[in-house]
Amino acid sequence: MRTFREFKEIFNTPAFYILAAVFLALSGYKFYSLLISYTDLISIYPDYIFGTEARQLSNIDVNRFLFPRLFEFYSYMIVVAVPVLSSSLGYERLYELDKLELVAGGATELSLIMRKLLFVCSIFFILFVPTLIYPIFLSVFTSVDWGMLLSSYIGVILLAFMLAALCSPIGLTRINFTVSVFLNLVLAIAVFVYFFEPLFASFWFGIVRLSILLFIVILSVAFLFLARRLYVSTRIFG
Amino acid sequence: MKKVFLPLFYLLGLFLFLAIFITPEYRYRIIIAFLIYLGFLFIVVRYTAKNEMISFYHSVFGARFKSLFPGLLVFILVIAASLFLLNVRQLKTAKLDLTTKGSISVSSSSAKYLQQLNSPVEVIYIRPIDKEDNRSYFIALMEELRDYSTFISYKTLHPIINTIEYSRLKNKVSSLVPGNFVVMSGENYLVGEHLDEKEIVRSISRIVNGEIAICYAKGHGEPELNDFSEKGGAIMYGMLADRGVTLYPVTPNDWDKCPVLFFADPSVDLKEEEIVRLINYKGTVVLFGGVELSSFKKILSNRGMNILDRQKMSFKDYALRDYEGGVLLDTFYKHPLLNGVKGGVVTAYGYSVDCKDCVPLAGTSDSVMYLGKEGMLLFAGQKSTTNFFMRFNSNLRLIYNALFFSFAPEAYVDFTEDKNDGPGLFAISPRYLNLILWICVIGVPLLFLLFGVYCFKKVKDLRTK
Repeated sequence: MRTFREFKEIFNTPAFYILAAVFLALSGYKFYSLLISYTDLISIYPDYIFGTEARQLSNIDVNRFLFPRLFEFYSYMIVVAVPVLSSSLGYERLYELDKLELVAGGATELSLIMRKLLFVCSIFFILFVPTLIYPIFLSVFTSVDWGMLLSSYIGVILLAFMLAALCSPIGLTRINFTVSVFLNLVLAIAVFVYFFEPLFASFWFGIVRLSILLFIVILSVAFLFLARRLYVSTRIFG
Repeated sequence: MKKVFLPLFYLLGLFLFLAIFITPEYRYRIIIAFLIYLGFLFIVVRYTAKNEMISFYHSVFGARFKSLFPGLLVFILVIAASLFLLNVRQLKTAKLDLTTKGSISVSSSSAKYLQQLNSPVEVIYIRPIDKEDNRSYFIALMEELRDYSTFISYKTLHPIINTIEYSRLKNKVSSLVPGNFVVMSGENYLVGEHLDEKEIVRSISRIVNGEIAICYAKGHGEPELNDFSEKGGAIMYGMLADRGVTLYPVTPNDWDKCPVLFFADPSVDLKEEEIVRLINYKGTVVLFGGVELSSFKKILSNRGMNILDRQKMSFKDYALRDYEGGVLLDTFYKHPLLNGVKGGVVTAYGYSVDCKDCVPLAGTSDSVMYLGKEGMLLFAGQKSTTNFFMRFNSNLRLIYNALFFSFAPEAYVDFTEDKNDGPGLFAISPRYLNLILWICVIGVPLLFLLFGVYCFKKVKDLRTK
């Protein structure tokens, strides 16, 4: 069970379930309000536009209207949540346990960091599973573009992974928790607003670009190695 | 004094640092100011706290920094390489479209047009302040378009964050409002309303072809182009100008010099010699309204178009009460001239037209009111070009398409054969909407909470044992 220490830590905390429930309630409300907006919008195009031409005239695809907006909302949630999660992974108790594990030779620094990173992604993965109910509801009335949804889910998980990698150097250096959260928040918001938001836009609309995937992988690996160096340096220099 | 001065001095530094991000329009000036500030700070610290500075330098650039330095160097190089990779064209165009209908993929007509584009064009999206921001859609769409042409660039502007740039644009394009987009090529610019692929490509095709100069026939009671009253034509003139179509008022003597002659709701009959001139006219006549006049009836009849019954008002009493009523065109045939018409076209009243060899374009359910043939486009609705009826967006679109298509058919991108990317319209009952609200907002989170209580209890029981 040693490998899943982070999971145990978080799943044994009632705060996690409360925060997750709040997230799901907000997400549900966002979906509901988008649905209401959509039904309002199509009612602007009245009954007198009929037949197949109406589709060409109104040109409002339900999938294109609902899901990108919903996943954009998720991306903002991720930008706020990842710095907090990443910073909490370097805190005292976990750090001491990691140290023991390293001394015992059960893991390397890189594997520890990688594990924490994957843990952050898994949290979001768990949170996003219940949100699959929205397209299922929608499929009763219209054809859902599952491909677009798949790409959007890939996008949000990749965003979480990338931001977790970005936040890991600060999150693992054992500076004060509040300072660490603040610094990571500033970093995540700045990078997201100026850089990642346009980068991830294609994902919300069902397009997965090779250049962006490569960029995400290279950038994440670079930050992982930086985090590893900082982690080692923290252990040596205190 | 020092206690007050120093915090203020540091606050100034913080303010300058934040201003670099907050005010992008003055970024270079603020960066210069910030560098001057840093230089000044260095001198102050150098002469007031030399020893502290040296010890700080050693603490920062000590053994720890030296151990990290090679790693940092590699890190910076890798970041630079990844940024380079992001812009490699071959990698950029390699993509996977996971959507079932290819809902954002560029249509074949757009792709064909963009591949032959050879002049730089910039598309600027003005982000809305009080309604849904389509920035992501715009970016995703522009990235798709850029796959087909390296001449396209794009950016987004926020009316508040980028106030100065927005004001400059607004001065050039008076009808610009947040939510619109502007297409620029050199000194030319035009505004587009509906943010979709076809509208953007159509605007690009418009702008690279230069100005569309249309002769506006005057002297027969047409709306005045500088009249902002209900029955004037100033709104049509301004909105067309912002879309790159300029109306030049001309007298009958100049008709022969015009490739396209536009008659907008004439109310006075043509003279006999004008009728002859118009019958012998070689260009394209675009006639909106005026079909009650005997002179125009004669010209139309000469071209095989016969005016039939007057159309009944299709609105109920309460609609358009301040006007004479209204006829709504709700039937649109498949034709490039109707690209981008996104709703019903409204006109004060109209006539159905009979024409054997014409292409029907639009009308009501039992009549054709908009039709065309070689050298002639006729819209038999009345007053549709006046300021009052310009409030119906599709009216402007109809006029714009007619003039653009008549003037430069080779530049007009035809989307008629492209995929239909609209939704299946559906209706959700209020009861079902309530059900969705309850399940999504309360049911699912509550279930997750109960799951948490179960897990937590289980762990607690295990710990107790």
